[in-house]
Amino acid sequence: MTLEFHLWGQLREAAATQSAKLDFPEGTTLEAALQTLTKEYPALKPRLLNEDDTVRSSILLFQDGQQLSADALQQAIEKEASFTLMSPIAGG
Amino acid sequence: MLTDRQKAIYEWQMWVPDVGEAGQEKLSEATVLISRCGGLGGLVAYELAAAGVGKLIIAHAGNVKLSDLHRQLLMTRDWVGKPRIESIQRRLNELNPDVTIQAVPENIHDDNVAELVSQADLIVDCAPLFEERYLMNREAVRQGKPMVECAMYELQFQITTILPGMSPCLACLYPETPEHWKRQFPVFGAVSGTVGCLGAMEAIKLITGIGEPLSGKLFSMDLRNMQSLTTQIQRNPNCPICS
Repeated sequence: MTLEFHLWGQLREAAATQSAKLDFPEGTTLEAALQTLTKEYPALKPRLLNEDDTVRSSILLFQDGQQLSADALQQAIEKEASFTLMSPIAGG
Repeated sequence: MLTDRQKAIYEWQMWVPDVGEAGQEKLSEATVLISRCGGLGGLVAYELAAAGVGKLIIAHAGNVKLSDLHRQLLMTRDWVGKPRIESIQRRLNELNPDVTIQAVPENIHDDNVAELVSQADLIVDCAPLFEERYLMNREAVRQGKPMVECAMYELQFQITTILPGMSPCLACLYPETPEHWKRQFPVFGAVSGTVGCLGAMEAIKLITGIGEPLSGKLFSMDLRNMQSLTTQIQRNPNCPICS
């Protein structure tokens, strides 16, 4: 199955792309998919993952316009899906 | 009661459905806290002053730097090296001398946040540092004051409106201080101006009761390609601030 990731904030700059598509076996968890994403785009890793490869709590995750809770990271994905990832930004 | 002069100044916005004189009176009686008042907050303050908001509490420390000038439209070249808050106050008073400006020559910190928030009807958060944003969020939630959250990066921006007890607060969205965020970052003044105007409009909507605030929604836009996205955001049932 193909998963698509739309990147916002510093993630977009780090990956030098606004979206990425990768193929995964069915049943992959979102966290495992994001770990794979950082292997394809290594500059994403420090912004997306903690040192233990868990996803940073400050990353906003969305699917179909709805925010996902941290629990969603461990749920198996069974079909093609599109996710939006946002890193925190502020004013100035 | 609005004077004839005020009616003449604000008549175009009073023509907006559901505003009228009653809406304009609400604006003239409102107090808005803006922190900080740079590229983003400066446009919020400028639009709210133009719209006739009665009182603006502006918190912003430091002196004007050359690197402020491309986006901080309330700072002027003749004021480089002098206090930013004085330039802000002067420029806002030039635009609308009827607006009361409470100029606070310091940024938000633990010792001033509760008092400043208590004096305002709503807050517009334009600060670059999450430490300041979390303090305003904590007090906004504790005191039940709406807070408009504005943010930007490069050619992107985000905005949401926090209605305490009803929509996610800043700590729901970002439970931990973002490690990789830095005070200085790439941005154009037109980006801060765009989201600043949206932030001002959110404040006007909250004060007058028109329209629908961005409560429980995060609006994001990338001006590089005009891509926009409105997403639903959720309260964290375990949020230490608002739950």
